[in-house]
Amino acid sequence: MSSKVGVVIVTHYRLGEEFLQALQLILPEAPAFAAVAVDPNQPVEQIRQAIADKLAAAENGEGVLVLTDMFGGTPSNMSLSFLDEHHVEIVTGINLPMLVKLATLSEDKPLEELATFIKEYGQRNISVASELLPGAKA
Amino acid sequence: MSALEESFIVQGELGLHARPAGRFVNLAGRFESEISVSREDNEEWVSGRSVLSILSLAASQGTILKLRAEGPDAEEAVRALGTLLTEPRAPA
Repeated sequence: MSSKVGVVIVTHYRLGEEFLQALQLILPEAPAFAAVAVDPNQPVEQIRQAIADKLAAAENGEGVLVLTDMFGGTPSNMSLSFLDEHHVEIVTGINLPMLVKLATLSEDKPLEELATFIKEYGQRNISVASELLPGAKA
Repeated sequence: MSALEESFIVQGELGLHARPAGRFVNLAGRFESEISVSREDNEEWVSGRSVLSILSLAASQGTILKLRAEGPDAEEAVRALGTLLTEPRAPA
């Protein structure tokens, strides 16, 4: 079902793990994505090593999509340092629709294409709820 | 190739929320038929294979949903998915 591209979530504290728990609730058969919890008080080398370990484990030869919570934050900045040495793309501003989509993709996409697709999907699924509700004010 | 369309009333107390939508998509994926869903009061059809599309229907308890299946197993698909929609409560 899912793409062969690996998926690793890197966030402030345990946001990523909580996202994955919510994903499992909605889709119990979702693939096991990895999450790295970054505590900014940790030594930099320890954070870097934790990300490196998850990237290595998620790599299936097709690259790894890294989802971070916010561009410019430490989890994102630390992930950026892997751009040169690994086949990774980093998409910032993770949301649950993005994860649900990644877990239910019907066809494999190459890493670069997947990154652009999932960015646009995440943006498209931010809504003013009343605009979606039938019969509500337009 | 047969196409089948049937209406169901959403029974779950919390409506068709994220978890049943996930189960719906999972179940829909097991059939060969193309599955689409729409509200009775709206002609817009969405794919039965997308959790977010299903959620965009905003189907609460009592909403009437139309289910359409096109393919060799359309009848089984409509029966199974209709059963899911009409479950009295959200699954544990």
